[in-house]
Amino acid sequence: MLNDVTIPPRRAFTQPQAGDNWETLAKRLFPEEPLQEAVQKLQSWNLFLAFRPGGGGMTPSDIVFTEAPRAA
Amino acid sequence: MSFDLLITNARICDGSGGPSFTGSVGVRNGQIVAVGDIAGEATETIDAEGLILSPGFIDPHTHYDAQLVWDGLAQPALEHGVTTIVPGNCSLSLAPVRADHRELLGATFRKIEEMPQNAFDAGLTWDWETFGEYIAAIRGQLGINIAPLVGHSLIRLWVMGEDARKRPATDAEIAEMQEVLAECLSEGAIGMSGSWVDIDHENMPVPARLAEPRELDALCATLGEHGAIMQIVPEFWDPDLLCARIDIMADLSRKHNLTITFSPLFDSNSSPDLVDIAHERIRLQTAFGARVVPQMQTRPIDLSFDLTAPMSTFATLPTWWATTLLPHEEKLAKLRDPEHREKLRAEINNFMMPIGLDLDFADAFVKRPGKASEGLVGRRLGDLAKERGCHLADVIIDIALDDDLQTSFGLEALGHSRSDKIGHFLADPLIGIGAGDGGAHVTNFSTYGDTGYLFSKYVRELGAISIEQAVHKLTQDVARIWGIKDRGLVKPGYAADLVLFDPATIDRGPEIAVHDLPAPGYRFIRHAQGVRDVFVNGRRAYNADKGYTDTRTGAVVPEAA
Repeated sequence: MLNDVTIPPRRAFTQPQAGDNWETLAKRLFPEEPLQEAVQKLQSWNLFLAFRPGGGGMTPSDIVFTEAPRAA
Repeated sequence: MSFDLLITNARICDGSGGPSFTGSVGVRNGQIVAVGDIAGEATETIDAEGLILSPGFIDPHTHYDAQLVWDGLAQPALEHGVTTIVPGNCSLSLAPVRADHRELLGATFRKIEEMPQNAFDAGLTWDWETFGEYIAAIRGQLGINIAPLVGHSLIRLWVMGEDARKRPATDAEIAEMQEVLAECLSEGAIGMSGSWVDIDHENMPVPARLAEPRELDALCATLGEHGAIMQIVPEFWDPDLLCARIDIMADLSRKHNLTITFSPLFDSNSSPDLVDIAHERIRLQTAFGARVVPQMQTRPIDLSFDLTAPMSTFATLPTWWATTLLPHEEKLAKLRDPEHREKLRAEINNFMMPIGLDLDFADAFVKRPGKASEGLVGRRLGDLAKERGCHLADVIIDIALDDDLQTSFGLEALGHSRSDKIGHFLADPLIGIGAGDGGAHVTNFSTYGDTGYLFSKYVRELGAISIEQAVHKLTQDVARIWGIKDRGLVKPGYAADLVLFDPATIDRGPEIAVHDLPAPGYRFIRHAQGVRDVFVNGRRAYNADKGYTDTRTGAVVPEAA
């Protein structure tokens, strides 16, 4: 079995850890950047989460993109 | 040699995908015992000249869990040549479930799979809690084979109770989930289903979505240890999200030596390159040892809707959704209320399409009329709005009110409609055929007859796939992906699940409404065309002239340990 295969992702992503919200994610992913700017950047790359309808919010199984979408 | 059944002069598509050949097949004690140039005494002999004999089709994505309690034939799946179905997809089975959670499960299942509540309430006996007890409750009446999945959401609910809907699991709860999963596998489950997408009746994520990656990893370890499979629903409408999910599935597959199938792989105009992008990602991950198999359906999406109950058509229209939830008299009053109608109009004006669908209410038409709307059948709502000088919302509401909400509206070819492209991918060896959703969405659209449509559209009309390959993709290929042993081939030693059909006429019939639910109401189905006989474990289950038989030879695949 090829258990240690590393194929570069099409678009870099992570998954939330227990208790994560936009702020904790932004702090962890972009520790050098001002918090609110990092949150806004993260949300702009993950509009499907930022504007998710209903009361679901972010779930531990969600994908969170950590880079901008590729140009079409 | 003597046989229970001898089928002679058939053109045999044996499920392998190899060239068809003319020959005979002998069946004894539910098994195929001879294939080729054979002769002998038989209790029944069928001259199949002009017909194709193939293995019974295997439908890997269904939601017959509830229907099987009141209809062990899973009608009309059998008449389409389907002899094995996989219920329990998308994280939702009907077991294991504690008595306290039946109402919650029922509400979730009905919302996601769009089942009428009265049929659900009248038809389900709920005389089970464990997975094994559910299997015991249905197995005596099975006329079709089942290879059931156990839902991840059910396992979570069993172990965590209501907390399954609220939080990640502890280490101890994950360990208990692994034990429950192993028990379900020993009681007849072929694998586990999950979802990264579905929302319940309160618009909250289903319990499976509250799982941290380590929980899914642990459950996949259990599946891998048992040689079982996982089915899951990813964000199928977005290329970046889908590719991320494919990568996650591929890592789990390699780590746990596990096959993971996802559904659907869906083509839509809103993301025209998605299927190509996902296919390339799957090709890459497969080359590096992953076993990730997408399921692609054959038919385009047609939808029906009325105002009697919430339907997926209103998924992005919260006021419409809430209105359809109201009790009947209260709903009529709301629909007549000018202030409320203004809100309904505004939502149509700002309509956001449901994921992946090219939906425009102006293109909807009157499909199934009540008495007052009989003269409007087939009329486009956009045209009626112009003629009447009113808003689209008013056309829908006025027609519905004139018939006490009995009128049903239709929308056609909302997605998965580019048949040239779809035909190409249906023939691709990396892509499985499935995702049909049989038994679900019963008042929204017919989920039956995808097999017939494969032959009529993609074999006969477009020539996108040979008849031998089409049979292969519905039989041995599914059995291989799912680890179903001794089915899917016309070969000595294999179960005698067999279909006799006319290659020139096999098709799905028109969509019709039937009243065969265990409570007042209707569902949309399609009858089969061109299928002459269907045999399940050697016994005739369906004949085109005589209909369904009383035979109940359906098996649970795999058998409980």
